Amino acid sequence: MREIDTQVVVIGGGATGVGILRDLSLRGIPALLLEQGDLAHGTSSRFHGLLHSGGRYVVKDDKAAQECIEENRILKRIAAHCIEDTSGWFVYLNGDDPNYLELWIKGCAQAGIPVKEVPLEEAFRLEPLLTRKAARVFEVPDATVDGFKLLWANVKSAEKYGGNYQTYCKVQSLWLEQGQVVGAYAEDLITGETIQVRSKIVVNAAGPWSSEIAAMSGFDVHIQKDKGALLVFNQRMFKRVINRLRTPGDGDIFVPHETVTIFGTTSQTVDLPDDHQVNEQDVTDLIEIGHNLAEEIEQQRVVRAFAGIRPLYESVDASDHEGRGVSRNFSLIDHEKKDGVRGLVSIVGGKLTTYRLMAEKVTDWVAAKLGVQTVCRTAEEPLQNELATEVWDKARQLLGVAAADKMMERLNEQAESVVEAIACQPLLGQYVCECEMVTQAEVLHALQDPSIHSLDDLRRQTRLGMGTCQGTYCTYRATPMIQERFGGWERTVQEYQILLSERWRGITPVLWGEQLRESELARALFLNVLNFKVEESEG
Amino acid sequence: MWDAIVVGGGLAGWIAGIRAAQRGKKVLLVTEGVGTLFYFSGIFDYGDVEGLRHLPKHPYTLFDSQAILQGQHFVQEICPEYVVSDQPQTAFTVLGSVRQGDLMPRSMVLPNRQAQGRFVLLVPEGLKDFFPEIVAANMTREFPGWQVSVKKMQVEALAEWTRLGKSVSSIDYAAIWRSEAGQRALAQEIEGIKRQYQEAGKSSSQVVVVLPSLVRGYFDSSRTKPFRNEFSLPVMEMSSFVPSPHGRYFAEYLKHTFTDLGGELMIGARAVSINGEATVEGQAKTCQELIVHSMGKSLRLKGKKFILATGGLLGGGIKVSMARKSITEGVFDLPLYVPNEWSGPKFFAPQPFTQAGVETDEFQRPLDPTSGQVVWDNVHVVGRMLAHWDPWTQRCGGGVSLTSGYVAAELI
Repeated sequence: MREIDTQVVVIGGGATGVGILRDLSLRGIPALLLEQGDLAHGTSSRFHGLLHSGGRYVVKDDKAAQECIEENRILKRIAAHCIEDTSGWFVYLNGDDPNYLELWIKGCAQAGIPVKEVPLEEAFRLEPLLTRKAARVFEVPDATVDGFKLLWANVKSAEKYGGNYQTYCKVQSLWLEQGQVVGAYAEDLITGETIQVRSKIVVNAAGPWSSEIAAMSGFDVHIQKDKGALLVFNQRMFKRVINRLRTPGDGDIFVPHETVTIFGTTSQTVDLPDDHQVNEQDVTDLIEIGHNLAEEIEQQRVVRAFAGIRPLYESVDASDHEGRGVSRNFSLIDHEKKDGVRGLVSIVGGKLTTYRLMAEKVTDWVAAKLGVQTVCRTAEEPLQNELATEVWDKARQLLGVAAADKMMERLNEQAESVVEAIACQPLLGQYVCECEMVTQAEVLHALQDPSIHSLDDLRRQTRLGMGTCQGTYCTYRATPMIQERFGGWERTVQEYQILLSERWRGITPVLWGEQLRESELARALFLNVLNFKVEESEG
Repeated sequence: MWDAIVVGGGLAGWIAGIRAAQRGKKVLLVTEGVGTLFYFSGIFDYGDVEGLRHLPKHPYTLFDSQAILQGQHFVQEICPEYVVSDQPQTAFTVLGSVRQGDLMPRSMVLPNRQAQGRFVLLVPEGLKDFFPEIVAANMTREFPGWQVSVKKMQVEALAEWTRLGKSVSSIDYAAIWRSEAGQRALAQEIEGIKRQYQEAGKSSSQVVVVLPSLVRGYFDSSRTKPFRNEFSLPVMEMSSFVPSPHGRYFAEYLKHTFTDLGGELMIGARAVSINGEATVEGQAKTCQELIVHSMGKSLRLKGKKFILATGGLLGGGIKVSMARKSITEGVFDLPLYVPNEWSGPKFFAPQPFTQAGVETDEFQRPLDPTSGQVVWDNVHVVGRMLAHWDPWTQRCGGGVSLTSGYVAAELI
């Protein structure tokens, strides 16, 4: 058994957890974050990637709307490299509820969300795929955010200030002594070792798993697990975020992202915190609704479907207890007040756009308990330092502008060593992933990170396998690197199989058109050309 | 009026066209593109023919063993580098692992694993999607009695290119090996390897040079090959990755074989529909003409027989629309067999959707799967368009395509 002493244990490596870790670290409070899987494997990477302006919430939830617009402005400043400032449109269709439109315009004014009406002709010129049923179009400061990048940036920044995190480390129980939580027991899932962490405070930031964590000590934190399914299209259908101007419902957001569009969502209460399966009915329903905003949706190619779990918090006094009726606000639960136990706080609800604010509130609470006076700096201190122009220029010379810029954004401060490696050995500048323009040198660099335990972890860090080929070519191209890192041919083959099976789960609900052809090609390559073993069917 | 019009220039289409032309028929082959031959490893798999013949409705149930053998010998006849053997033959994959194959070029067949010898893996600089260390390690594992070494070589024409960190595809290297300068460079390199062994006082008699995709197999009547150099050591080649040099040159080779036999060819032409009717009400229809779109024009082509070789899901013969609202065959609008379950949870396991396709009678004429009636009496369906098989998990892609193409040509 390994023993660790620290001040604060943070449970959960999603956006909120890493945000808290960074905030604690910036205030000089020693902390350890424990995550059962890889960072960002849950809700923080399983959403549409929309940085809300707050427009979606103004009518029903003005507090959430206000928080959104404030955080939207802060994040555009401190996390510029994770955000594409696309702006967003709210599109009111012929026949939509005019009362809602009126309330929405008023709500935006109240929440301080700047709104500009776009003349229809202009709108159709700028977004040719937009439905001709559009009657009025309003521009708001929506943007798109890369959840993966945002998480890595937070964690790297936290590390710089002394914060620690451990992935694949599952909390087994909270450590209680005389009415106080004094730490946690966890299992290192890689080595099987038990870890005993002593701390003054434990923060439960486990998102959809928060109920399970609280329940370990018999406390009740009721999280409504609300599954949202999303589709990935293989190109940018729109340049901006497109929302439908109506009471928020299924299938009314299109979000352009790098080379793809994410379209969603649905809302369905589920029992399990990791119920990520999308069924075909969800997909057909989404496409049917999608016609309202994009009539030509059926001509588009769907690459895959995925789902995330919104961890919605039901406070006792909420009147509406179903899916979208539940507030998107977050709550901080002090278990001393609620359950009479000191040293434990749960942070629940909220959304990615407000992760920093949630982290700030939690850290304020922790700091007060620990008697730390340092104030929060996360709203001012950027997540990334300015990069030296020489590195940037050199990268552009070696790789071309598009690939270099993408790489610099992904790696920021760590780009220099990768650029050097390519300069010394030009063949390392060859792409492993052509969709996301990821070079061999970058993959080699990522593999040096000790927290990468599988090809799937590598995918989250480098975006390998997330493009149109869904892992067919890029995993093959990573073969020598995978073998070098994980050791042995059998393990390499196994890693391929795990990654491709994981990708397959997201492809099967959308198995038609060009993506079906792509899948047949992948089967031909792996089963025939590369001679991989055929698996037995189930049942 | 042609005796037969073949729609589709993939493996099955070419084989049908060549065999029909060889039999003295007036044949036209209409194709939109190059089909899936660019994914061809260079090896034809037949699979467990007897086992597969016991699967209800598998295409192999349409053919007798004689036809399957005739098809194999036909390939050997038109392309003598392909060896038919009773013994299982093996070749290297592009990863250096060993795979079985039923019909492969002589230059790919692996030596005896029990014997001893030396493999020298000759790797041209900057070859894309090729990993010499992995290949050498896999070769060593597969051939414990053999010594494996890697030798890199530089081709002068590409020296500057690779110095800049650019990779070279195996298609480009294959083209270089077929040029006079490329052959000379290769011959010199191999001579150098031989000398090295001799100077070190070792025998070079058991040295085999292994090259990724040399594509020696289709040299003779292909017009891209100016001359043929003999090498001073035995040279073996590995099967191809994609885009496949073997596929490229095999497609070209088949094209020349076909036109040399008098076959007529229309490339870049998309067959869109057909005209035909039933002579007797309620009976199978007879197709009279094929309507083809080519270079902005619409052409009507008349034929006695039609061979449908447009491929399946991968080749584009079968189209599946969003949410699977429709699953269609695009030329004749033939009724298709579509399984109830579409996919299974394991990626590498047999998948139900692979069974989709056209059901036929013993003459490969399309059937209506509900009534069991022949739909067109002068249309024969070949290759991946046939229902009830999976080339990848059953490993019979080459077998079904070659046999069905060959047999259909016999029916013209």
